[in-house]
Amino acid sequence: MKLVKILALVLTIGSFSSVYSQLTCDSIASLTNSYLHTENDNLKGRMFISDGQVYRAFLDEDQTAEFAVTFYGNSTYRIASSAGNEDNFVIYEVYDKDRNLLFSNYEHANAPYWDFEIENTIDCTIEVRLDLNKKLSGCVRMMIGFERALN
Amino acid sequence: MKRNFRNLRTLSIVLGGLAIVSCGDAKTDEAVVGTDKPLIAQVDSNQTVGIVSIGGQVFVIPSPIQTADLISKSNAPFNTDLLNPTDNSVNYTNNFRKALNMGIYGADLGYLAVYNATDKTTSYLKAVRGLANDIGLGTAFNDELANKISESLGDESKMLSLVSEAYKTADDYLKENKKDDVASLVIVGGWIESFHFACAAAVATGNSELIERVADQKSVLKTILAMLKQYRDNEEYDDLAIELEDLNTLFNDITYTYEFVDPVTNESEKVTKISCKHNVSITEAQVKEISEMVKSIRNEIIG
Repeated sequence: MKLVKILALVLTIGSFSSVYSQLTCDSIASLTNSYLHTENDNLKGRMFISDGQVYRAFLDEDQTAEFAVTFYGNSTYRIASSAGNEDNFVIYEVYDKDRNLLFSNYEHANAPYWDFEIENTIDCTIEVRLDLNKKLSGCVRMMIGFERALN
Repeated sequence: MKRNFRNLRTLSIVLGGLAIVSCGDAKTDEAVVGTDKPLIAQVDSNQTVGIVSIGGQVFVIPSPIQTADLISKSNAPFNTDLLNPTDNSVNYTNNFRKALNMGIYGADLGYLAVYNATDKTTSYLKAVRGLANDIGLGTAFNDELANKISESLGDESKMLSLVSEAYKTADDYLKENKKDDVASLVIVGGWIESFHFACAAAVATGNSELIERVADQKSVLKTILAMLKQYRDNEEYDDLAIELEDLNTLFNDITYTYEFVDPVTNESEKVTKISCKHNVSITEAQVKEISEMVKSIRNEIIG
């Protein structure tokens, strides 16, 4: 009897965790997507085309996800991120290969998206974590798009 | 008998509770973020979510469409011989080759779009949809997408956006279902095809930006190899990685220099300009050598 109860509890917690993570990750997909396609972009006659990949990590309070990225020269990129219904849950920092800090959205109120004009091709690392003053754990989604003029 | 019933009751209560909690959360999340309908099929909630492992890296591979875009802007002529003929699509019998070639056809779709070669788009979309269906990604490349692409023929940006969105949906679906290995093949296929385009265009035109783009693939290749490393227990993945490692050696004699320059941020425009200096010294012979090997690897994949 005890064994059944323990098994049921373990199954429940495991399933709940899985379902909850799934729901959280799915629910922020459209929000992250919306940061790649803003009204302001239409007004400026441009769009950001996704690189066709979805980057995500389930982060706890002491965890950081690391993204290795190559940005091509003569391009403008947008990095968009989300971890829930508020747009300032995520802190991300962009470093060059020598660990020089190129950008931190923390200095800009945890802005959920930011554009990067890249003059020359550069290899970067993006480090992503949750702002622990706002969220302790959860799924973080990140998307990268490159700019293209609207026809 | 009584004890069994009690056990059953305990399980029912626990599972019932789970169902209620799960449904409640789903509703809350939907209310918060809007009601966009996902293109993908319902994910089996019994599976563990495909979340990246912390402590490891997430591998970001540049879009093949972006390279196709650069090629068209360099005035390199449209070359239909660079594409994987759609007739080949029926020859791919295992999921390994199907996934790789789904990536290849995706890059081909991008190439067709940037050159506005609308007469071929439908057949390439059909090839992609066939492979996508075979590997369980039919929902990402559904009738709705086909109709939208048909309606946007001639509108390059919209076409590119639709193709990218479809591949993103497929990537998301694969990762959600813990099929990161398959997702990586689609990505590698797209990358090798766009690399093939870039090499051919660089050799044909001598355009310096294209030549630099070829040299820049050293970093991307390093990321690709790191991504494939975790799947090398599988012989097919290992064979592919070995070929890519051979390709990697050709970059050893190319000289790269890098100098950090302070970035400049425009707060109101939400943009940061990164002007770090990056110089590449690559010879014509090196470009040709890389081009030949890329072509060989790619031709082996398309069969």
